Amino acid sequence: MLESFAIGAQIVFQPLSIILIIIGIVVGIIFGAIPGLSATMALALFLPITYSMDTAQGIVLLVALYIGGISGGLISAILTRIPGTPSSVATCFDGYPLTLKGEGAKALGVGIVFSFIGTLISTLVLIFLSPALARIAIKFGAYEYFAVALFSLTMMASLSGKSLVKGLMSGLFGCMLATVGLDQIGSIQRFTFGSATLKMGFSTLPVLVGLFAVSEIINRAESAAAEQKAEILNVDIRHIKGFGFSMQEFWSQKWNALRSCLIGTAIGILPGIGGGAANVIAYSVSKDQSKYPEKYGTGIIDGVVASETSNNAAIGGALVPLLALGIPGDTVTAMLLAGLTLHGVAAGPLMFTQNVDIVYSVFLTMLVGSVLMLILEFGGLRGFAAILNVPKQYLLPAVFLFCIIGAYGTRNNLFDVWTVVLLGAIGFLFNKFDIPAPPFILGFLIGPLAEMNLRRGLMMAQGNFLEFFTQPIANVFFVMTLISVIIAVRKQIKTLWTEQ
Amino acid sequence: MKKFLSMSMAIVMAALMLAGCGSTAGSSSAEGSSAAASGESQSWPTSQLEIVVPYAAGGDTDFYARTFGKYLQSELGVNVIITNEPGANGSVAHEDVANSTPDGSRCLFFHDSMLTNKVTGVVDFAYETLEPCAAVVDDNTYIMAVNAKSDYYTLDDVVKAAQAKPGQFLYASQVGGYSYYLGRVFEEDYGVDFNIVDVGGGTDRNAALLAGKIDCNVNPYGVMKSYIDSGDFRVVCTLSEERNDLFPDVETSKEQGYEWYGSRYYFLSFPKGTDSQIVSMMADALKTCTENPDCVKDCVDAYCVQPTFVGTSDLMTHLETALADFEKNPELVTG
Repeated sequence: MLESFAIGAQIVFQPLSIILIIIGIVVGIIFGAIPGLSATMALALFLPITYSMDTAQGIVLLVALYIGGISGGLISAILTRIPGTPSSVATCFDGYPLTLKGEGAKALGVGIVFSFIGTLISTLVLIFLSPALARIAIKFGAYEYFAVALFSLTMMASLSGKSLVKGLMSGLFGCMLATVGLDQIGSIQRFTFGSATLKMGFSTLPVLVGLFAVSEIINRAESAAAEQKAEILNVDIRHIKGFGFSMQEFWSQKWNALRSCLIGTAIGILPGIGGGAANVIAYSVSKDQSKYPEKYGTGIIDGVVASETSNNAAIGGALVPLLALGIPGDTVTAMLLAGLTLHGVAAGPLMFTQNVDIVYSVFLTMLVGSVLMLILEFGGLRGFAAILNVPKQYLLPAVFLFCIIGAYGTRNNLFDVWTVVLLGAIGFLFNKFDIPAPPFILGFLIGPLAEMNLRRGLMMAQGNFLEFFTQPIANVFFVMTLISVIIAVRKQIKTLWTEQ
Repeated sequence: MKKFLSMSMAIVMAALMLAGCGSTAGSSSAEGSSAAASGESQSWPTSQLEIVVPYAAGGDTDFYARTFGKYLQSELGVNVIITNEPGANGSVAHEDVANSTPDGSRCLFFHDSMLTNKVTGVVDFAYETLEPCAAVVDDNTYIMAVNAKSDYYTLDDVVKAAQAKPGQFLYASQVGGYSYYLGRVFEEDYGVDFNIVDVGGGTDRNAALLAGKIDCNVNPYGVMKSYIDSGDFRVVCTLSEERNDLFPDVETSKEQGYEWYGSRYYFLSFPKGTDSQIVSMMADALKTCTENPDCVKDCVDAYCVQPTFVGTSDLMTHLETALADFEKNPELVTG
């Protein structure tokens, strides 16, 4: 292994590679920080550029973009309550309330440090356990995925806030919206009303950007109009010390961080779920396990820790099946796979023996990149916080513009632009009627996964649903689903009792 | 702060420029169409050529388009831009290009799924809305692979196993996909009853075969190559009459006594009404690219596929017969 690291080091510890990593991280952070632009898009734009580069260096650049892109989302999430990428939606829940309390810099510091920790731990898992974990991951077939998806959907309950009914409405609306277009099994048209564009279905990025970013912009515009004066949040930039939080606060998060890291890594490893769901699931688990769940959403660092540790941990996780078996775990790793294929590198079971240079330069890029990310974001901390001093009437229209550009960029189609606007309006209405938006994400991302695997499983079992209960891994998740539902119902009954 | 802003602006401007290339092609096309028809072909290609890929970046279609785009750039002496317009099995991009101004500045790079899309009812049109130009890849590297731990060595073994337990032998494919059609054709011709299951796309199917969740997998050789090299998968046969030069050890279906063949064209088309001279000039340029050793090497390295040039009239014949075949037996396509 040391020898392999030496081979990787020869590639990564070159001036050009280090420069590429820095460029990748900086560009990634910018793409991540700007709502509407995402890590996937950063990779899609840079993929053709790597074509003319040396294979290993091309991959180094792409991995650096990935790390920066996922982490960068926390900046806008914390400071403006507008998530920079779908991976940082849950960061808003507690990050923005912290900013409102005047602790924005602290929230940023926490987010940055725990992003680093998430990347680091998942990278260690990747380096030491990937072949073994990848072999477990492929044991997950349709039955197991259906069980996992079902269990994830029960998290809607803890994300619902005050009203379970409203939470479920939001979640089921998410499931519904995801069915529009061609169905994934037989290409049957659903809810397309004969329209050619509706056949495309709603794409993840425009939907989440609309619901969480554009709706927030409309909210702000409304409140500003009511107050005749745009709100100005001032952050005390001069008195930030270090990362803005104490060692004691750091250690109080150790179990929360570890748990979120494991959740993120595990979700990353399972192909098809990805960081967009990981942060929301880690947040809801953290809340459920906490001694003070009622404080979540009011501005405590626990929420930021859960979200930011898990989304970066998902990176290391997603690289496990990619490097060990050539199976991409999410849209970003699919881009990385394309990068490898473009260079004639066959990602698959022989990667670890035939492409030691590539594999170990990815490992080292992850390690070096996460440290550089920590340094660069620490250096930028004061700069990021200063964004809040930009008057909202300039900042928010600019953000809106980026949302539109980003939406168009996903598929080069105007339909996605209309999606952003429509979902912005829906998000605004959600807010008016006090319907929580977080369960929507689970419905929209996990609902289709549940449907697809239910149908695939039924094809396998030739229509016999009982076959789903013959697999041990699936059964574990079915039992967890049941427990989760019982706990949620009990909690709901309890609240109703105390209210009466 | 200012640095951050200006930097992000710069990046986004760059992104905008890349994204905006699609629309510039549209505006330059407006000028072109006002010119007389004969003048059009003389001035073609004007400033740039846009190739629309109907799938997201990263797949084989995208790879071929980008590779040929790279060599076309020097061949035609203009900027070649690749735009990904995924959606509805590629029919979104198909419709979009079909509705573009037919001035030769915009074309579509698609494959035979254009035909199955019509049969499955995703759209009600096929190549008749376009001017097919030429095919550059005839992917005849379809193989059947099984897990190396299984007892299947030949197609006879597969047929025996499938007949022994009808409806139990798991054959992986997606409804409407090409390997689905191949599987259904095999069932009809050789009287077997597979359980055709959907386990996802190329890489998902590799994982499923590796884990023993499916019994066999039909896909191009390149998709499964790394598992064949590692000894995890065993190739039963190629779906062709003759052995492939790139993997000559593998027996063909014909050698094993089965007339079960598969191949798929990847071709370029212009919008309907494009000047026939532009179409033939493009076909000539593509022909030169397929003969370029660098281009051949790129394709062989990435997907184990040798580029093949198929001219306009041969391509039309292929499209006509293939569509007729699909439409004669729509149940083999749609399940």
